[in-house]
Amino acid sequence: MASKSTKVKKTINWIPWLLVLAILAIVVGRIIYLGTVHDRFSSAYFIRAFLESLKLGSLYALIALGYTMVYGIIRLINFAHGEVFMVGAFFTYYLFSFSPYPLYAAVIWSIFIAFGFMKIIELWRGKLKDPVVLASGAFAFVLATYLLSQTTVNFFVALVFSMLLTGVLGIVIDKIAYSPLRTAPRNSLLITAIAVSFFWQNFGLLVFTNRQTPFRPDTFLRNRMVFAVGDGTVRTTMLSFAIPLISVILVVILTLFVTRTRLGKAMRASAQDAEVAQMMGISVNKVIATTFLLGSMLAAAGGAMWGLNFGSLNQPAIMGILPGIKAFAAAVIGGIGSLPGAVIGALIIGFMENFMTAIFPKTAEFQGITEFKDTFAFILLIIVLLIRPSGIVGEDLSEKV
Amino acid sequence: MQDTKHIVQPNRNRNILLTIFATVLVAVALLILTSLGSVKLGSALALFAIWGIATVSLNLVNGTLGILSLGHHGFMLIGGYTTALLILSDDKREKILASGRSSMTPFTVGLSIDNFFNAIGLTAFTTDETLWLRFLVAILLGGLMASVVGLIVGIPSLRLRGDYLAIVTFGFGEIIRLTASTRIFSPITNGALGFSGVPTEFGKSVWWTFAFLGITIYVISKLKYSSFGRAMEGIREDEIASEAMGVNLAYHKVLGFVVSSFFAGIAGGLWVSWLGGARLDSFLFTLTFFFLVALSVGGTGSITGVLLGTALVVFVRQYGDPLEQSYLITTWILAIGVILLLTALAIYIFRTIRRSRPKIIPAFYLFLIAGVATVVLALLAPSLGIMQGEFRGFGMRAIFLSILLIIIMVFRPDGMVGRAEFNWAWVFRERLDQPTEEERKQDAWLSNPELNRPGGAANTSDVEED
Amino acid sequence: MSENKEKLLELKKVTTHYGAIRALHNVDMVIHPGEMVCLLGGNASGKSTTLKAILGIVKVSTGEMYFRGERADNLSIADRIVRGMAVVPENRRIFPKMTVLENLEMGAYLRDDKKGIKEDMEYVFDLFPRVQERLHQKGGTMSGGEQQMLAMGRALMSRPKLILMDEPSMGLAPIFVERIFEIIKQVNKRGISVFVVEQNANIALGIADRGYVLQTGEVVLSGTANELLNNEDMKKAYLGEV
Repeated sequence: MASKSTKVKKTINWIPWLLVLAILAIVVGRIIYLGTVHDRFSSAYFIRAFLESLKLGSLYALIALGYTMVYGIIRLINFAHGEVFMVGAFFTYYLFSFSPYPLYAAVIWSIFIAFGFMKIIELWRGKLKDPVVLASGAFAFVLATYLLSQTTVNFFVALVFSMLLTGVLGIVIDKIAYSPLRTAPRNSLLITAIAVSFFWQNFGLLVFTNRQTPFRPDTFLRNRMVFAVGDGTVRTTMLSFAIPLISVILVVILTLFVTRTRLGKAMRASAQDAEVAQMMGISVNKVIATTFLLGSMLAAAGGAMWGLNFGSLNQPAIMGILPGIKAFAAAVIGGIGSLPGAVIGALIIGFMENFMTAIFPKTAEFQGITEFKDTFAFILLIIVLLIRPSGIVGEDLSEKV
Repeated sequence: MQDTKHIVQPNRNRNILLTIFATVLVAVALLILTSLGSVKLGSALALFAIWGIATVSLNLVNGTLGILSLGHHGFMLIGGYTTALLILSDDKREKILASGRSSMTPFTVGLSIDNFFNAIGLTAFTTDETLWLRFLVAILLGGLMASVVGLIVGIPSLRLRGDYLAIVTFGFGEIIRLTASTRIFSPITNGALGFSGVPTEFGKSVWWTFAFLGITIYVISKLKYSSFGRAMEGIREDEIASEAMGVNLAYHKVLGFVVSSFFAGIAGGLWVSWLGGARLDSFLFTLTFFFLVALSVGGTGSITGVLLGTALVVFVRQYGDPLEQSYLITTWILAIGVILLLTALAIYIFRTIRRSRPKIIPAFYLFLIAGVATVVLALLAPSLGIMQGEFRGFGMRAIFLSILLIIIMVFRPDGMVGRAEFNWAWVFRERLDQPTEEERKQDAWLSNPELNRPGGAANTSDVEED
Repeated sequence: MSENKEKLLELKKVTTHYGAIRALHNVDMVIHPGEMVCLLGGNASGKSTTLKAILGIVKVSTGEMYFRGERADNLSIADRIVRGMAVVPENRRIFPKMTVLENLEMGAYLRDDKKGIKEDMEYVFDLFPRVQERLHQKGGTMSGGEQQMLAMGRALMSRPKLILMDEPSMGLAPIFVERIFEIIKQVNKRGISVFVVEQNANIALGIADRGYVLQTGEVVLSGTANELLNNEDMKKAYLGEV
């Protein structure tokens, strides 16, 4: 009796790996087929597709990390995270497009930017009332006011400011909407997250109406890059290297923070057993706020670079929805609660969405699969949830019973 | 055996008569409202009924079963498109085929009730006068199709819990919508174009919509207040314990989804008729969000609450236009300032009612100062020459509803009404759940210290045995 | 007797509630420095609640608590730990995905003195060589007994004056139970007071100095270990003799 069910379980465990192999076989086979049959599909074409997928995957990774961290600690699917991503992009836009600002506006921006900076320094020093924290807050305030009122800030400065602002936004959302419901049933929390998400979508609509917003800051990252490969040329921009690079840097910093610092370890401990973490004297509320801070900062970076990559921002009411859901799917597929899992999942989704549509393009005989590209993430998500809910990196949850 | 005549029973006959009387009253009220009121009122009432069907059916899963289902708009889409496809008139179909931009084939264009009736010899029912019959069949088929999909969506509910299941239902809702426009289904759905020209006399009619609403309420409440419903509530409270007591989880969960999606399909068909056409954009997740607001604000524990919530949402949707007009920026700022001050006032009132100490908390000062500052800014701005211009309140209605939902979740998660259901006993102040005098006498020993000692009633060593 | 001795922890008429239900009622308890006191009682007697109230997870509704001479029932958990409390939770509850080393570090979370932390870690390795062997292993992969040792080590890492232990014998093989209680005795000899909540009255009274017995949230018996071991009611109810 027992051996039969373990046998079944073992077979079921094989299925995901078989699927992966099957997909890889299809991909490789298709590439070879395309390469030999049509001249359009030289290695340059595939390299470009690869670079585009890598970019997309990196962007999804930045968003997915926020989902996975928050879920790991408070078991909440933060529906509103896609909107945080959107707001981060718009903050960046506002900062580089309309600076220099009149003084009073620069001051208002700088108050929040300085507050965000203080929150970051607080992670190191431990308390908000620490002199180093207060000093750095004052410094940030002065610097930000100067930059915002006297100069047109460049993309990188806008990016950093936007990350700080969005980090603060994340903390505020948690404080107002999620922390009162710490002990509430999970359904209520999810509904509240949905409400927050809709609020921000429509608030964005209020501020930006439903037009598309062009996103073209003056930065070297948008410069074209052309290089020859084999008998073709790859035409892309510096972003193909900058985006993955910046993402890697941010992820590495986050991972170092979580594995080497005291607060980072407290975050991991709280995710594993929040009650005992409390018994060690860890302030779980502070840990949760930090999680929102870091996750939102990453999402803002993702948003800013998303805008750079696509050259414009979709209307606020819809910009964050699909990327948000896909990033969430990425986090689940990789293993919710796990940082490397989120990155792996995001790369998978990025590749499925971009590379797959590239290798099954529209030709004379075949209509292509571009119209399905948005459904991949959903379908993959449902399959993973049904077969292996713990994801790629997670432990096999079904065994725990 | 004890004499049971003294125990109060709900007066069934009286209640039935009262319900019939009330239904007649409602019908008369509708008659008056539609003949004297504006067209806008009529369509608002119809919309209330249509969305009422959706929310009451959604509540069967979200409230009674306790499973957060986020894909209701997907079921409505299926029901709506089925109905639209089946009921479109022949010249509409010819137009579609002739337009050259449609993705439909002659076969799919031919899928109409008219053709079906003609095929089976019921030609008499293909006239204009009998449109209502064909519409009825179309709606029921729409509900049926939706319930088939509901069956499919219900299956993951057997393996997944809580938030994962919610995401899967959300995923299904989105997949349905996303694939409806792809070439797999566009022969049936006409892709992004959809259908226009669905007859509106049914969807906009209060009689049709309220009739279906009445049926929905009847069926759902019969289910909810039966042993089937109690089993569902048991699953909601503690799945493992329910299973241990013999409740068949699969049966109840899947059936819950099937019934809920059936009525969602019906609502979808009526919705399509109300709109006059079927388009993918009419079935966004936004619909489910509105339903969630209705459920949570009204109260997921009772049908009455859900209907009240639906009324609120429909009201905001239909009559909320003034919020989304263009006003002077200073007017907006003034409004924000007033809201901040009102919040401060609300905080003060709440803490006074609840006698919380301390009475004045930092948040109060925050809102007070922010409110005063904003109001002053708004009043001074014109003279200072800043913040001129107008501002259009795009999306204000949804903002209002989202804020309302957050407030309810934080302060009153059971909704305004909670579990309280409307019933005739409440009207007559019959407290069916309270003991009668006779029962009180019989239970007196529970509070009798002579008979109730620490150690239990068994420990009566110095009390005489009977 | 102990009236003039210094009190490390004192509970005065402590009452706690769980919603509307009263969990503890007018509990009086004292622990002196260097003592080992055990708290006995059946299921749902309020033993765990008492421990949680001392640590601060459960709020005291009425009554007072003093720790090292100062009022403590209004302090946060972190403050109480800084003042010298540490806890070994029920069922060990070490952090399963963190290494042994990281678990120990979590015990010292509120401390800043690197040197002292190193010293205390050496002491823990001394007490529990097995812990040092498995230093970089993930906590969840260790056996129940090893986890208990780790949990104790983790509690010691905050250099506490008082260790609160919640049912250390639960779920452990008898040989481990003996080992653990030997080590508890060893730690106690170093001067660290121990407050042990236990169901296994025999073994707890075997090493404790004094004990309290709780029943439905009230203290029904108290005394030295010997007094309790020879008490007729105790024998009937908890010690399994006739």
